[in-house]
Amino acid sequence: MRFESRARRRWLVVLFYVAVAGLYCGGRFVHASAATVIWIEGVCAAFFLTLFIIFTWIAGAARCKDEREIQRVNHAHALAHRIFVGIFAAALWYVMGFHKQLPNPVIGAGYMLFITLPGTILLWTEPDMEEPQ
Amino acid sequence: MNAELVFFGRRVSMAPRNRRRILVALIYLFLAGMLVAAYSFAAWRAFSPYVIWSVIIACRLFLGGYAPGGLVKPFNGKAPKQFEMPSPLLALRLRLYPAIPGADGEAYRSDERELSQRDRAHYRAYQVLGASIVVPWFVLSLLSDPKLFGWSAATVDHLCAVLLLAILALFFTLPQAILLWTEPDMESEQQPIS
Repeated sequence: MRFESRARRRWLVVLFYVAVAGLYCGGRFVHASAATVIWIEGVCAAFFLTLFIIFTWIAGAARCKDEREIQRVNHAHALAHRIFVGIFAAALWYVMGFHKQLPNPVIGAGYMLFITLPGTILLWTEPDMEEPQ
Repeated sequence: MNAELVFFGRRVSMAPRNRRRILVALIYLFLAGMLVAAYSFAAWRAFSPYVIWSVIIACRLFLGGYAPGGLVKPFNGKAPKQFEMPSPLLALRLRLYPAIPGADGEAYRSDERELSQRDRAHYRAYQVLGASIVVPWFVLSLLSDPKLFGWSAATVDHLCAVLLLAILALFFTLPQAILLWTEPDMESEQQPIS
């Protein structure tokens, strides 16, 4: 599968985060037996794991070949830092301040966002690449 | 990065790297003290806003970056809003004058080299913070006993909240701290006349 086209990379990013959302929320909104919920969670987890491997492989393959790539990676991290801190602080404030709960799901989802956000920014913003002849 | 810190009307040269490192160490010592105090008090919910305010004031007065003022230029490159109203009397008494941005706020805009350093510092900070987020996750997952230590009133919730506060403090201060720590000695503006 080729990912030189930016549109394809963006579809992958959207699909990946839909799978993440499905993994986190899927079991909570289904009012079925425990066995059915486990099956749904299992399918979502397998789908997520496959996409995660593809996602990190593609995001990693686009990295650090030359000075320009290093600059782009650094810039993606700077942007990710600012985006993440806003989302994470708001989520913590909402969960711990309003609901007075331990933020286990927030930390789990936050970590997932943290490790994937720079790659997402790179995949989303990098223009169309030239296809190898 | 600015080579000079204006602190309550006094101009302090921060060109030598040693001075900047001492400043960074003092800020983190103070923040660590605040976090230990938050951990020691049973009413950590009431104390945590003070930690957050300490971080904001540290950025506003000393570090900069995520707030206008301080040594590092604003990361977003924008000058703060200028108001028509004169400064309050208390601010004037404390000699906290608003900075003069100059034409188009160029004093707040980073050049190509500074942007590159900013991005590099964020990259480094991101690696450290990635490791630090795992700690409260492990604490929540592994420690199931709500009463953590026999000698202390602290619980797992308590410890987790303080760790998250520490992570938030790091998020807002670490890139600036890395910049201030690693940047070599700056040249003094007053060169001797030969």
